[in-house]
Amino acid sequence: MNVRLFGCKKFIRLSNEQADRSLSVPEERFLDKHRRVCSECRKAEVSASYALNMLRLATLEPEVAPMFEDRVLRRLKVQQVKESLNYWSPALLGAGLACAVIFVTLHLATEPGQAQRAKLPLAQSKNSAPSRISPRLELNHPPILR
Amino acid sequence: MTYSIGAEAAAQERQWVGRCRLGDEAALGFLIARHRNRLIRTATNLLRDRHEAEDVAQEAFLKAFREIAKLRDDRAFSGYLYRICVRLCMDRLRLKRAELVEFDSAQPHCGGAVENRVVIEKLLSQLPAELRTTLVLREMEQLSYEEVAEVMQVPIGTVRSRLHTARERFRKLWIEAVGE
Repeated sequence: MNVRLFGCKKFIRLSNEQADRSLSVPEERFLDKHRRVCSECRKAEVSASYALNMLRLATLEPEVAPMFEDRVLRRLKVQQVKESLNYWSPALLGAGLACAVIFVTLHLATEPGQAQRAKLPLAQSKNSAPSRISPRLELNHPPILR
Repeated sequence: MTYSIGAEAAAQERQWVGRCRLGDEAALGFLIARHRNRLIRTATNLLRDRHEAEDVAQEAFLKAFREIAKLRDDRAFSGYLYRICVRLCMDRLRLKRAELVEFDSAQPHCGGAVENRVVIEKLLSQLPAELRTTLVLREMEQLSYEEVAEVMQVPIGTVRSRLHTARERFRKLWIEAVGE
């Protein structure tokens, strides 16, 4: 027959703490007394001890993969490059934009006619191209003197 | 502390940490070689996955080296690194969902080492990250209450109550699982 008594919570607490610290004499006495009369706590104590032993037995030992240091160092270098890129990226972006603006400005300033044509559709732009003026030599057609 | 080292080794480590700040690769390699086993071991026991544990250990080293300039005392590097590793493990545990454990009650637990390990892993996955970490650090890593409190950055009283709760829950889960 299972018997549950007052002080079971205290028993469980002290039973847990027993593993981590040495109990005082009254605490030990309480445990002994309670253990004798409470079958539920007796069972609980045994099962707790067994479960914790099993837990300790399931401890895994480390398996360090070869080249672990190399991999960490490589990741560290990649991280440093990424961080420096992140740090400099606004400046690089700004410089790139400024270069593009300067290039376009210079391009437009040197060729204004082409800029106007660029705004027109392709066919119109061809038509609007200034016709080449070929030099005329009037030697073959001398003015007729009357 | 279990993870503390002797006075001579500590002085040596301080030198290496100082060189690390200057970007000395040999010093980085030395510190990795010194601490990798402990980090991987703890991460393996917390996460119960060797590959993930190695990944976490690498991340812990990267984070520690990246923030080494913030470290006020070079002697504290060892604990600092360990704390980072445990915190990363806890973050991963929080992201994982508890596995649904279904045990065949008709088939009693046969008690083999591998079966035991599988059962333990399933039971641990049922515990919240804080309880699981406290239990593993105390029972598997054999850290003292003070060390657990320092690593998890909580008061000793919290460690004591968490450990009590974790043991009780683990015991109940164990009884449900194997009926012993």
